[in-house]
Amino acid sequence: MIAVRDHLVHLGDVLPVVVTFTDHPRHLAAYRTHLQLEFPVLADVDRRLYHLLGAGRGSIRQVWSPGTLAMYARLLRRGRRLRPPTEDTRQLGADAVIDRDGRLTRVWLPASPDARPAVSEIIEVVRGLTPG
Amino acid sequence: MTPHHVIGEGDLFPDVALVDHHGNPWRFNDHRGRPLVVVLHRHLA
Repeated sequence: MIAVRDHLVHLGDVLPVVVTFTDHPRHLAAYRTHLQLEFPVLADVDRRLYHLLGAGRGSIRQVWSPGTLAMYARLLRRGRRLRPPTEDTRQLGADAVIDRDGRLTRVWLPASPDARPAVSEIIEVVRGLTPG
Repeated sequence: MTPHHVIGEGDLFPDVALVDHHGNPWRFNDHRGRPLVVVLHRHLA
């Protein structure tokens, strides 16, 4: 979501939302402040959204793949202070674009946590949506 | 809809109710008219 935050200008009137499944709203607020996000951070406590989009849980090998470890190493080198996770670390996550009419236009389901779509790919899908 | 029903591309997105960072309800249908990019994050690390 850092990439989305840094490319907001290319996303037009799109509203990005970050969804996680913590049941502590104050964690959401702290996380939003920590990452300087200007868009909503939402809780999906019962993981209904995760199930609807088909987002799965990975094996230990998938979740802690060399790519994932390299991703965290990059974040640390950039000065990110990582916090101990308090939720399900085996969740793989997902990314989705929903159009103005509320229709799911595109969903990306990663095979490992580091395999998220490039922000350029998301921007391309957004630019293909009907203008408002 | 069963709890594990999966929607696909082209399907209408259900009006799932979530909670925002202020602790307020947040619903998908309240944001019709504006495209959404949804990032499902795995944990708050």
